[in-house]
Amino acid sequence: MHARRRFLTWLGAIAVASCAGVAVLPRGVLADPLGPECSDATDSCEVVAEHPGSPDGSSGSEGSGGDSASEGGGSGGDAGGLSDCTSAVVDTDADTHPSAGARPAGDDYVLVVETCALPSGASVQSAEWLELGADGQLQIRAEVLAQRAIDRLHLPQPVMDTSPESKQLVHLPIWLAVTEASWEVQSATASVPGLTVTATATPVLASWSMGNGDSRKCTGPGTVWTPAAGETDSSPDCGYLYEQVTEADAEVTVTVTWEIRWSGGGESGSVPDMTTTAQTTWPVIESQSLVQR
Amino acid sequence: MFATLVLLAAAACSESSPDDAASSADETPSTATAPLPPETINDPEAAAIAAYTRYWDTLMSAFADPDGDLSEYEAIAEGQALEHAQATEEGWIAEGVHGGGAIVHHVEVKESLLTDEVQQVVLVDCADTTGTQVFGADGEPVEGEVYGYREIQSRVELLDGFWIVTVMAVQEIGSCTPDDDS
Repeated sequence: MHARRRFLTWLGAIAVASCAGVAVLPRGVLADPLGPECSDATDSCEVVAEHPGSPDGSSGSEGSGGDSASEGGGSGGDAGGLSDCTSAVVDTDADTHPSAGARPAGDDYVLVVETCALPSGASVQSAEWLELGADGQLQIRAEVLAQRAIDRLHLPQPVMDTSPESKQLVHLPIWLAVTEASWEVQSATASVPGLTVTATATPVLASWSMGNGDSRKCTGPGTVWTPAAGETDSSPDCGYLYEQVTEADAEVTVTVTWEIRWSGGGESGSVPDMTTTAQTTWPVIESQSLVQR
Repeated sequence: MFATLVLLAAAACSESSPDDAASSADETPSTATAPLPPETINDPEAAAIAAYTRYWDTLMSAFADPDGDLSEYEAIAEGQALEHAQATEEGWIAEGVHGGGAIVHHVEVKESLLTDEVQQVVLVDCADTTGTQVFGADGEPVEGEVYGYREIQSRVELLDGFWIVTVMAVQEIGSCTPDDDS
């Protein structure tokens, strides 16, 4: 963690509103006889049975004698979303399934169960009836799986890492940046045996609205200020400078634009961009002060 | 299909009300009759419930006198559930607390996946902790500690011939209410 720039002003203390959330560990959680709580934020409180995935994530199918299952799998790089999914054809004579519903009319439908692991170790499971074609392949288009994978993308809310951090002086360059974790490529997968589609979200633009009508567009996360930089240097790639005070605290917004692409089964495509956003407020005051890093 | 069982984590303690929690909590639970090892039970769902009960019996035994021996959980839990048990006892030691009393479990089978290759049972429990109490190092009840009903979902699996708890997800106080018929 780098040192933050800060200012000693003769203006006295200024209360600064912050939009940052604070995670509070419930009191007594560790002392509780039942131990730590699961995290609703990651849906890890919902536990399901899961088919073990094939170790190498390979796809394919095999015979369906007895209760055997054929599996396909894939992994996504997103630590915050559905990161490790496997799918299997379950050999069953059942006419209905709790989540897949009733078996469609016809003899060629099989039950496909997909299980995705959550970072917590819990997993979520979905099931559907899919038709087998004359060639023995599941009849599902890559675009359908692509949309499923896209729906599973977990894009992080941007976290600002500006310098100065909480209040600004006119005529002092601001280094605008978001954290590395806010600017990492995210991916997610969806699969059926024999076909895995991966969706990828790539951050391409950070749009800063400075709260006074001005805006700044940056094609990267921005450079985080470090003491190695000069006190009054400007950011090399993403900065801003207020030229006058604002009457009220400036409401500053950063919006990250994500380019969404998918590929799998020899096909690929793209869908409209997605955005994530974060907001904070800071006062913009006169620079009648001593600046100290 | 779904079995509902009411279980006591500490077998010797009868179901306690909040009022008598303090008096029962000082007593170290003892087991009048040893429960059957899950591995001796033929019915997978009953075996899974027995393994789940064994998990909480072990943890509640440590609750009475946390000694930092975290290896005892390795025979009954793996993965996230093992981490949960070890973190729980580490938390007691870090905070210098111990406890007693009995958790009353209301366990149902939520889902079973039983094939030649996979034996998994997912359980959902509405656990009542009002019969327990947390004590500080001075032996006095910890003020502000909250007790109540908490939903627990867990996964129990047959691994190498042993029924092992692999996931333990404990939710917040008030996350469930027990069925009237349980």
